[in-house]
Amino acid sequence: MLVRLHQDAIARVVTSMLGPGQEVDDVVQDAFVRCYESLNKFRGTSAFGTYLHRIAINKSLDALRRRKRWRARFVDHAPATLPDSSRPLDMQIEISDRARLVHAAIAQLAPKYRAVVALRLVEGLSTDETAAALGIKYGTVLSRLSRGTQKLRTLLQGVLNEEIN
Amino acid sequence: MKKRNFRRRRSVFGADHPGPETQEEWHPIQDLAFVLRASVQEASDQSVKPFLVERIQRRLKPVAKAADTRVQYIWQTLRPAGLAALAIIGVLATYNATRWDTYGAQRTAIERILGLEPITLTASYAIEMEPSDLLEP
Repeated sequence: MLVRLHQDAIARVVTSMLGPGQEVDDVVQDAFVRCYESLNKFRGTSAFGTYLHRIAINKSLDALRRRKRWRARFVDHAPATLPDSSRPLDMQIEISDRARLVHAAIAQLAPKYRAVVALRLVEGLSTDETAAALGIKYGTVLSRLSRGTQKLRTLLQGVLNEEIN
Repeated sequence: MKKRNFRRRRSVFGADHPGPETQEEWHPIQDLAFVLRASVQEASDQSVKPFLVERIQRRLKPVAKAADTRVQYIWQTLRPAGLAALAIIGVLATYNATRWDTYGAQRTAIERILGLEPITLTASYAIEMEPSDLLEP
């Protein structure tokens, strides 16, 4: 029941953090399993959704770290003919060009900015909820959001102009 | 300067509706949010395979089962020892309660079961010492 209720939101958060690909499914599963295992640690000081978002962000950050280690070990030492390492690992799934551009732009953000953008702009959490989910101050959310959106607006200028027209 | 920046950011990002002075900044952010949401939703639908709930349930089963098995193991290991301890306590209590001794009816039922001697002034001051303890080493 809880999974059905939150699966879409958690999938969106994880996709925002990791970009589209097979890895998203695994991380979403990991987040729910972790949540089940640590239910006794949930103190009820925040909403359950916020708690679950926090777990999803942490699991995504773990996946990004694993990805970075993997790249450091295998890609960075390989010949330059391999695919560009700045792209998410598996972009084999079928998505529109616009979504591809948007995810490439999000991937340019550092994970801490990505997390704030994912929760505040994509998921529509309030600034207070975002701060609670990430365990950071209200002012920090605002400054990260300001920098993150500034960079995204620059990177997605073309897509945004197209949207307005 | 820092304070003004904070107020401006709070007005643009902190609330659901912008203040009049940040209206111009707020709308492009909403456009960006709209584009982000649509693209992320599309990618998320493609990335998550069907039957997610069933797959999570399958992963959760061993976790729940392992916890059950641990409790069962502890219960099964300790049960014989617990039963034996209860039996020994019963036998000793019966023995103590039915035993005839010098104190007889002076003791309460609890004292009899536990095999306690009645506390009297004489018993409190009586020092149990062997004659050899009084000799100098």
